[in-house]
Amino acid sequence: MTLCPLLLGSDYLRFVAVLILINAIAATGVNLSMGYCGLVSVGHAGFLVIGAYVAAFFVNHISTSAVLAIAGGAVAAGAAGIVIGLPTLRLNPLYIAMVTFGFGQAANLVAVNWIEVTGGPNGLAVNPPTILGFEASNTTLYLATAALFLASSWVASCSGQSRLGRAFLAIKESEIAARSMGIAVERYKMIAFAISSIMVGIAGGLYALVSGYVNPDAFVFQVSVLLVTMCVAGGLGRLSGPIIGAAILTILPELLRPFAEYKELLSGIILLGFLVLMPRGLASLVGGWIDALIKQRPA
Amino acid sequence: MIGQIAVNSLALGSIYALTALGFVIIFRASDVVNFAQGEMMMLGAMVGLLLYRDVHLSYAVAFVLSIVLCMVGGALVERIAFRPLMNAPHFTILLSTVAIGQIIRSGVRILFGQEVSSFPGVWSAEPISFMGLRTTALNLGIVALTIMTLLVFILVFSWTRIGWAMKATAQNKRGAAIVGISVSRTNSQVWAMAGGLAAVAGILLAPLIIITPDMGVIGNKGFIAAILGGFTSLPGAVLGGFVLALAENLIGVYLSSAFKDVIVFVLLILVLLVRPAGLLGRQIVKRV
Amino acid sequence: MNRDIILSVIKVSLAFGGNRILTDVSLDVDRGRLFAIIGPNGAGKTSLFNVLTRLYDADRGQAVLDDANLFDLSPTDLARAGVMRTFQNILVLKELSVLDNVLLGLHTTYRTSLVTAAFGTISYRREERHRRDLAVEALKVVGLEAVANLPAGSLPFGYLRLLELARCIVSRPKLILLDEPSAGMTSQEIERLTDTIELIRQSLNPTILLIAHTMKLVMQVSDRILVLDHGAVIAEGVPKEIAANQAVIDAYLGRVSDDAAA
Repeated sequence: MTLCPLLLGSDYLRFVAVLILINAIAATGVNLSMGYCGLVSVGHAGFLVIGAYVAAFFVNHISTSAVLAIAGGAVAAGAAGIVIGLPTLRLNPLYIAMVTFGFGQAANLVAVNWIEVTGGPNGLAVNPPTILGFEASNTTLYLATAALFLASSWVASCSGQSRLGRAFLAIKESEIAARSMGIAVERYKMIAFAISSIMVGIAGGLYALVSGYVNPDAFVFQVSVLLVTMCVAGGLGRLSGPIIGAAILTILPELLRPFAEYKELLSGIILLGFLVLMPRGLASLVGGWIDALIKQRPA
Repeated sequence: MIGQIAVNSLALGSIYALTALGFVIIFRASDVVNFAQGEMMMLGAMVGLLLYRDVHLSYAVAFVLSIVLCMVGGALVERIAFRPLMNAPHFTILLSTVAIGQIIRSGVRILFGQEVSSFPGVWSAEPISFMGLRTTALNLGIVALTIMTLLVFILVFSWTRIGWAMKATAQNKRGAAIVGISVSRTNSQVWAMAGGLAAVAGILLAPLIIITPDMGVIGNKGFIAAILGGFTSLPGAVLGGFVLALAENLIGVYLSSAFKDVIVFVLLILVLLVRPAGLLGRQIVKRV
Repeated sequence: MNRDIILSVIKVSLAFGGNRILTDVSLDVDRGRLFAIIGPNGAGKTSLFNVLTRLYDADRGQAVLDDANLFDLSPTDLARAGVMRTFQNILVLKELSVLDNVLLGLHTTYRTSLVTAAFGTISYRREERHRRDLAVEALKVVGLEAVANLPAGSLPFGYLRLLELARCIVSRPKLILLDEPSAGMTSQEIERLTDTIELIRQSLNPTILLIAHTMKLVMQVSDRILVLDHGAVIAEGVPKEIAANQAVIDAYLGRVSDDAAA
């Protein structure tokens, strides 16, 4: 099903499809730390920034290999996640929200001001990457994105159903109960946060390679909120939630192109609406059958 | 030189202090961080601008009216974002304040466009010198009004029934309810007060920068100031505001002006590593 | 006579601000026995549990668990040390299924690494299947195997207590602390609970510390009883002795009654 969009003739539709997959990877990451583990981050766009610019740097200056670029972005994003998470996750859960907010702002500021490296507000062109030595066409990039999407969904699915996911959910609902089960709460929070920053970093790197261009406008605060909205609208703590959310919240802005002004307003209203009216997200309506599709075992 | 930098930091420090205070009182009363506080501040500046520049009210009247309107706004946010979600997990409430902030910000952007205006000068920006230090009447005005606001706040908090109720609910919600304090009404009052503080901060900030819908991002500084102060302490929030402004200016002068916000963020991480309780904070203990 | 003492609590004292919560509380718990801790509301029973499970730090005193200094452990170390507890206000995870809740009790027993869990390797799946079987066994002991796949939040109150119990025993801990497992239960549920406790003792032979207000339950299952009042021990002995103890009767008179009837 993931490969169907390849059959679409239109380049534009294929681009939207790739965007959905990239957003789904990012949302899956955010869902793991927020939906499962309860760690609110309002600055994950900062990891997109790191993933994207590091990948661009790799391709432009180090090696045209797409794999290396994305890996580099992922590692850098993961490292940043650990640096931020280590002092913050052991504190009151509100701290991680505030600190990630600051992180998102800071990352964007670096992107805008470090002109020598990031190209500043005008952004950076990204050289065409290569995969296994061959210059990557749109189709190959799409396949690579799809592969990474399936891989990240696989990891999210396995983690979510395993003792890792159970530990995350326990931490979200009651840290005391989690501790009494022998769960090292700080360590697991760090794991959740690190995985999510790596996944979002991968999404950022893919975005840079696929669009061939990075600029700071793509990573403003609203993007962090959008990632969160994808998870909330799709359904927190469920496997299919971020995917549904990513699909809807990628298509919607495209449909609303003529009303670009209202995009921000609408996304805020959608977030508030779901939080108050349907906090379990759309996945709760569609029920378990999508989860069953993704799960590798019979329910 | 440092003395001059310190004097230069007073105005900005005042604004940071007011913003941080708004965060901390809501946190103490409702156990939540209000991510819409920055936008409340922006609204304060906007409303003040409209009333002063377009409706031609006097500065004082525009000031007070803006505060009143933002207090209503704060109570409204409590009603829409907080009250219906009172039993939801904390992060839901937090995210709803984020959503409201976004709605306010984008609403203003749609109505008024990207760049709104600069605030016409009330006090002069001409330099004044004394004791070898330079400042402007504008800066002095900002600090003076901030001190007045803080005094009013302290009076209300320590001496009136409202303030007493706030202290009680902050310490123990169930106990307060048993004694007959209406927790929801106290919450409304606290959020309204925070709205008022935000309005003051916004109007005072307005002459220093250009008023845009994105002005609310200064809320980030409020967070940092409050964290520096220890997040549970009211005087800590005020102190944190001034310390932050001073640190920012020192970094801007001696290290790098373009990246000073980034360096401040790095410093924040270091502070959290070494002394998360900040300057005046306490560790919070959970009971089973 | 040589007693096999698994837990030795020595003069534990705790105060919050001006309030003395526990004063010089001492007890020796024999291995494999059920030790009940009773006393009027506010006597400090749950606080004692919290000290023993390291949620509170005692101001003075010691506790020794099988030659290990209990106060050296953090709350997270206890599960691995073989100590599990239930909570007075039930800390069951409503979002997870009944079975997943019980599986949480086995968290520390996994040998495979987290990486294998994240990637769903065969070795992890094998271990997970085995743990699932253990969890189902525990549910059978408390009689909840029929609702294993339901979300825990959908269970009625009495079942939640049984679920917490299942989660507590599944890892076969050597010391179990039950904090008011009968509170809020109907008399029928309490009978079922009594039978379940008997069953647990027969199959696992753990040492049990039990806080309860339901006298019928306490008298029926306890080997020894400790009575706390205002944070101090006022009596200790076998059930018959305690029932006849004047100080105990005085402490309870007019304050707490048998709450077997819902």
